[in-house]
Amino acid sequence: MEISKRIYLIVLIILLPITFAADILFGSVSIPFSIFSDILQYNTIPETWHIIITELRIPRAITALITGMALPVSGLLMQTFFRNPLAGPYVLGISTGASLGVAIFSLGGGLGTYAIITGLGIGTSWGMIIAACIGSLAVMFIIVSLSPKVRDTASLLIIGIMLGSITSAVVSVLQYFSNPLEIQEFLMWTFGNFSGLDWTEISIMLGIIIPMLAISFAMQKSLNALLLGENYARGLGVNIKRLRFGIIISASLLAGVITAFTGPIGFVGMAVPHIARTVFKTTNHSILIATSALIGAHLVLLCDIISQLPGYQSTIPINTVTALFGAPIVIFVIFKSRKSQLQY
Amino acid sequence: MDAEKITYQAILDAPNLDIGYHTKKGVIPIAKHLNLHIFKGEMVCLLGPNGSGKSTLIRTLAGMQKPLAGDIFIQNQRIEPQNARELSQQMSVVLTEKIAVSHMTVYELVSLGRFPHTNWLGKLSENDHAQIEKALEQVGLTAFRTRFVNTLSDGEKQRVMIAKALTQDTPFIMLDEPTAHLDLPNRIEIMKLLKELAQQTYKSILLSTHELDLALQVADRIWLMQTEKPLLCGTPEDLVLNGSFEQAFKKQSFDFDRASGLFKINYQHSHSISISGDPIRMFWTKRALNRHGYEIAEAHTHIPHIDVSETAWTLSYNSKHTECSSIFELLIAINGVEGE
Repeated sequence: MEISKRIYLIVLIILLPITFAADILFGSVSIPFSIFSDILQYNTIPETWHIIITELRIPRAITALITGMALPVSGLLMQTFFRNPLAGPYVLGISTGASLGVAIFSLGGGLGTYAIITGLGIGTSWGMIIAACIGSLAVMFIIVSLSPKVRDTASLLIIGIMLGSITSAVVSVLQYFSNPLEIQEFLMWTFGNFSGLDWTEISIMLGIIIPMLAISFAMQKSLNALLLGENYARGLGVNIKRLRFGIIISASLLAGVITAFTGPIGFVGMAVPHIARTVFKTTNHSILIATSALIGAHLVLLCDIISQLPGYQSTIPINTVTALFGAPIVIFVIFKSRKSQLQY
Repeated sequence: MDAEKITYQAILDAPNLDIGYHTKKGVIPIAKHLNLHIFKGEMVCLLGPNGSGKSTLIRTLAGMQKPLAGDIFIQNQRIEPQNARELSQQMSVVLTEKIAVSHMTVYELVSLGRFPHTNWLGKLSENDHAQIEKALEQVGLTAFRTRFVNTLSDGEKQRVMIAKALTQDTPFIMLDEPTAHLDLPNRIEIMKLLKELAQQTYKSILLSTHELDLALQVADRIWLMQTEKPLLCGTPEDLVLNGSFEQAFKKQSFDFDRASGLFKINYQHSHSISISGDPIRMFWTKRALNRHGYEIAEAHTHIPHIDVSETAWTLSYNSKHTECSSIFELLIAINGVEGE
């Protein structure tokens, strides 16, 4: 790597704890920056602040951090796999699959799913997470079982988009037959939300996401060969069947599990890999996976900070922040990149 | 030593090979009982009209599809088409697929050739770097190493892919129509490069191509595929002399000319003309006349005559002489004569 790019990478790594700390400071209760020096000097801090930080702010910041790492890596895997710069967690229908699961759970009052699940002694928030997981895994299962039969990735991409359309149509039908209270609950989920996860939920999320990130990195050499196309990759000794399976499983789990816990977070998965490619001017996946995760983490933490800015009681839905502040970045990157063209 | 070079050690062996497709309706055979061998340091060109099964053969040898029957051996080792890893140590391929990736440098792409030899991280050793540099030098792209691949011309891209194949360090390289989409100078240069590489590195090279005249000049041996007829093997010269070439490519509109090794278009001749003079200028004048429907005949008083000198063409007919300074003018003058 060139020296300038090494410096970018080091800056991204050094700044990450700072962005993370900044995200902890912002929220409905304002906490001064001096709290960090107090903690480091073992000074006593107010009990309420202690609870707010350990039970609310740190879980929220970890959720934002891991979302920012997982979604771009998922998007990067899909872009390389489908040889298409527009691919991302939404495209395979994985995010919409999760919404379908949540919709059936929270909207399907008439379907009785809510009653069944809460009757089993599972709380509403866990019910939503399980429903979203089942939804995204169901879409993923359809894609995985179709992928050996569909030879070219373009067809698989179209199948993914079509599955997405079907699921969002079903969601619309469910909304039409639901009462306003149920719809409100579902809409709140679609706005995206990093808060409200307890430590058990966070450890389950990390327990799935971190191994998937590791698997993605372990595939980096084969992903580089895949850039030349499946036939060239096979000629270089890549086990294509295994790689396809690995990519689909890890890309789906990264996107599906995050969506289950936070709601659908738009744009990040598709856009961040392009920022990484433009800044680091490389196609080497060992660099792209690491830098996409880093840039994504910064970006989502920043978006979370912005969403807290109104202060006190209200916050802006995170999904609107990622789109409002992220989409212009993508447009800027497209214009800046040579030939004004996105590539995979 | 030269003596070592001329060993007839087979790198690739495919005795009794049947190729074709499995479909839901059954088996569609393309060619049966093929007996294929490629020797060390040999360049073999696979020729054949469209639809004769060249691609199927290439895909079968590359392990992209299973043979209907028979086995393929490389260096006496049976190839498992499913085991891409093992195959990648024996054979490198250059395909017709377009490389559309951005932000990838020539060096990065060529280094992918080391894929079968590096660990899971893909870290390149000093030996790997040396092999990449050597391959870049062999294809004449040393100065291009930091250029992005998508900024190169088609000919340069093809050289990059050949360098990748060299870097893979396999005894056998297979190329699927490496000269397609290239202009004539690039086609010649790529063919010449491959020939030189086979000679210098003792690697065996198999390539499919439509460039009959180039293949005749550079191939050590030719595999000639024909629709529903057996595949013919031999040196280009043998295949020309025993008439296989004429047979395989016979069409109404053109002939294969054994004397020159070229394909000649058959024009309908409606007029006769005689010609004499400087041999080289006469050769090209005849070509132009042929194209315009004139048959070259013995000199006779009833037909026009052209005398080709160092500087001009003199057309004589009915004791009238017209002097022309170019073939273009000559053709106009002849048309005038015919119009009378």
